[in-house]
Amino acid sequence: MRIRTLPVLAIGLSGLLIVQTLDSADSSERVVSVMVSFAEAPQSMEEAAASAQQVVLGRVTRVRRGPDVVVPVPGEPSGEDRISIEIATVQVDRAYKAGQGGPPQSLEIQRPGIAGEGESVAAEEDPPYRQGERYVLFVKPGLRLGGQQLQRIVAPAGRYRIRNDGTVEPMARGTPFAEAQRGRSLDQLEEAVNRGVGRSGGKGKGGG
Amino acid sequence: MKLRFRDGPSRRTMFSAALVAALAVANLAVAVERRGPASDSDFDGATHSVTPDAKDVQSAVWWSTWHWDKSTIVVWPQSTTTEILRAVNGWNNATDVRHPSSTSHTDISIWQANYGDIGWRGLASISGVNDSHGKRATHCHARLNTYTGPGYGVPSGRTRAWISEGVLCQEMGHCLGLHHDGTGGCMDTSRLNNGTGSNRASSAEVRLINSRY
Repeated sequence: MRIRTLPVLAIGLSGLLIVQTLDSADSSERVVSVMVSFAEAPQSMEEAAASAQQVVLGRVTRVRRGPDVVVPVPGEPSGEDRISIEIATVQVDRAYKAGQGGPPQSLEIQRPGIAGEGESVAAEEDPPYRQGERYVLFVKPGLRLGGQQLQRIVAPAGRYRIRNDGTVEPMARGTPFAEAQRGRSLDQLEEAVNRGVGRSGGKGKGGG
Repeated sequence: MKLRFRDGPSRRTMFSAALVAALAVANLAVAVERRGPASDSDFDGATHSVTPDAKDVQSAVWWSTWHWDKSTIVVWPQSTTTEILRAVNGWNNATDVRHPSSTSHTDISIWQANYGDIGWRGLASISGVNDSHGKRATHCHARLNTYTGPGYGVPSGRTRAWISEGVLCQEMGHCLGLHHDGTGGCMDTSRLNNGTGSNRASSAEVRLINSRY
């Protein structure tokens, strides 16, 4: 090796060592994750339809932060536990199962997360809604906040996003009947939904 | 020759060569440290294979890269209900991880409260920082929602205490870094909710925890 090469190599290795050391150091950035254990775990489209009061196809027209759900937890530094509630307004295009009042024009869907330091952290299987997204939703009455009755999905297996290319993306993970819908067309999902609604004894297909 | 060795280029050469060698070793050491433990797949969120037995037809699953950097993880039971104590003791007795209890804010806080018709029976939130193994936990909250309206019933043949203990067991499992699974233990949401599973950790879930700590 040439004598002049060694100092250059030493400088290069020093630089590499500095970069590696900085990269391997713990990040001070805080990371938070949330895991929800839903109260219901339907194992078929029929069970999901039976649990739901309404099953609809709709488009998200508005997403906003609702009032937090706050419960006292005296031992925590803040003395309370604060659950953030996102409210998504969904304009109903079609109803596969309607409540007693008939197909709704729109629904206000609740989505809980964790509130803290101005941020809201979502659960993996119930991610934030975004304006313009289309969903097939299995919903029932949930929280009543600020004088408003909100709806909640019965479970992640009751929330299916319709991608822009028309294919289905279930939010549930590890639920076979929901996973089976992944990549299918909206028509195929509607067929499965209508079959589930029919078997559950719910009202048939209606308008939106 | 002697003068050349002391003042000449060959001495600088030896010094430079030694410096290069030392830096190469240091770089290698840092690279090895960044790779993490031998069972690196344990920290990348991959499923950990276990030997199936009569009940464990599936594998337990890590929740992303969440992990603790210690095997004694202190728990603060903010409500000292039978269900909370049984859930914490269940993990404490089943795995190699120790869970001494505290009466002040510590690693894990576990409590129950009525959150209303919010959709969930249990919720775990875990916080920490990124390290070379992934997400290192520094604090976790395990919650049980005691709301009992429609949709929050008791599985057939079970009691409210049974499902409550199972949900608390599951939230504790999340705090230890486990995801939902299909093993029939308390991390198996489907079988916990319909009462056909156990409200305690399955042997697959215990083995996965013990493989790390």
